Amino acid sequence: MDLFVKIFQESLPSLLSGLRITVIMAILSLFFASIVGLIMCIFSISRFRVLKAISTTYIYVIRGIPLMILGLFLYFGVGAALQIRFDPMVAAIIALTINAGAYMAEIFRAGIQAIDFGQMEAARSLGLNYFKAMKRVILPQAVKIMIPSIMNQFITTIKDTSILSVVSVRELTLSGQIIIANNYRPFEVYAIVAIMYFIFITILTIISRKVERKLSYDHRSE
Amino acid sequence: MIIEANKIKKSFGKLQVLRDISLNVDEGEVLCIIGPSGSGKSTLLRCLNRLEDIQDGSVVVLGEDVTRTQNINKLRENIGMVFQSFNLFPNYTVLGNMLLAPLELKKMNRGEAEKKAMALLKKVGLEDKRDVYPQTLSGGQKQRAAIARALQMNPKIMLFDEPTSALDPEMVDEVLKVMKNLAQEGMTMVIVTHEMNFARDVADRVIFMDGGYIVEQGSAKDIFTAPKNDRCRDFLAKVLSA
Repeated sequence: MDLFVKIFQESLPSLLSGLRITVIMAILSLFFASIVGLIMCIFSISRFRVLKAISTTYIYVIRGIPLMILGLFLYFGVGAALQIRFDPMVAAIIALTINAGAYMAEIFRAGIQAIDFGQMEAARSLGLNYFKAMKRVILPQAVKIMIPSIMNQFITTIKDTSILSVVSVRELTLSGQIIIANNYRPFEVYAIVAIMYFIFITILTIISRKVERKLSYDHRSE
Repeated sequence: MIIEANKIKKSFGKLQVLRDISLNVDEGEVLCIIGPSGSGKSTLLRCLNRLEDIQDGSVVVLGEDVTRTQNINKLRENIGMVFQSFNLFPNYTVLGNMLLAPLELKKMNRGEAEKKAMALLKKVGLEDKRDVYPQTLSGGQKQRAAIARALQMNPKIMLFDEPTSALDPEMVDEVLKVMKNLAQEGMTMVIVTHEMNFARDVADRVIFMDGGYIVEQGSAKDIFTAPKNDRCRDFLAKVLSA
């Protein structure tokens, strides 16, 4: 036990700075992925075939490529081809954004299409235009349905940040590996790393439950 | 003439739903459209406010060409619509449902809109339900709220698409009563319905549709007591004996 405490104390500063990188990476890539997802979702429900095709192709291609390959390709492949040196963090965030964006697009699309089309017709028949109907009637209902899936994707992406340790971003996983290379204590160090991820995700889960409850109108009554 | 539809043709893919339909409605007239399912009644109604596009012919409502107008939204403000499945917005209270469009479209200020909404809710017997979410209402209450929501926009025409077909039998009358009052106040109404007794009581004119055609039309009395067309006679015999 004393040994564990010692390892913990020694590795904590380095792991915390790794955790910081992980959190920043997750927040930035989820933010950008939400924007990409929203745009691709709008494309996929639009009437214009070209936009539809762009969105379908993007989702189809990205879902078929492992995130690790995407990261390696961007960092080493594209970097070499264009003769530029990517900051590993930038490459990692781009990879995560492209990856999660595809899944977010599908979550958004499914949520919007889950709303009965009669809602749109009723809103339009009152004289609201398409965007007002979307904003005031369809999206508020759709977002409520989407939240559990969005949270799932957020959690997946947070965990996926560890995959990007392969492009030498010093996030939590790589920080752990570096410590282990010095102290030969994989059991203790990986356990601490696992607990750190777990706490981060638990905090997010608690927040999402609160948001979900706040958006619920089903059980409110007179 | 407040509605003039001329030689409308409409198909869904290969299925032709409306074949050469012409139809006029006068101001203050109550028109009921009856006929077997699949005859194109609802589709015809939905063409009047462009919820469906037509392939041929023209629809002119309140002097505006529905298919060509640049501002369909403005026109729709004047055409209230009531749906079979109510389509109340579950994310708003009854009052919220009624205020959404007028406030969003800046037709009225909030005080004015609320005052009007309360008067309408009183008229449809729901003044105690203004702050309730639609999920807690019965079917009949939902449909009355939906009618109030449509009336809130001060429409010049009201379209009803089988407004009582999704209701339990004991709730049909409360909705029909609201509609009857509206008719007596002189509202122009086009009603797709299976309620033959209601059509007989309230309609100035009845149209019988079958297979995408208007097969017979006339005063409610003529249609219900002396239908000339065989298909119309068969249909009425079937639904009136049921």
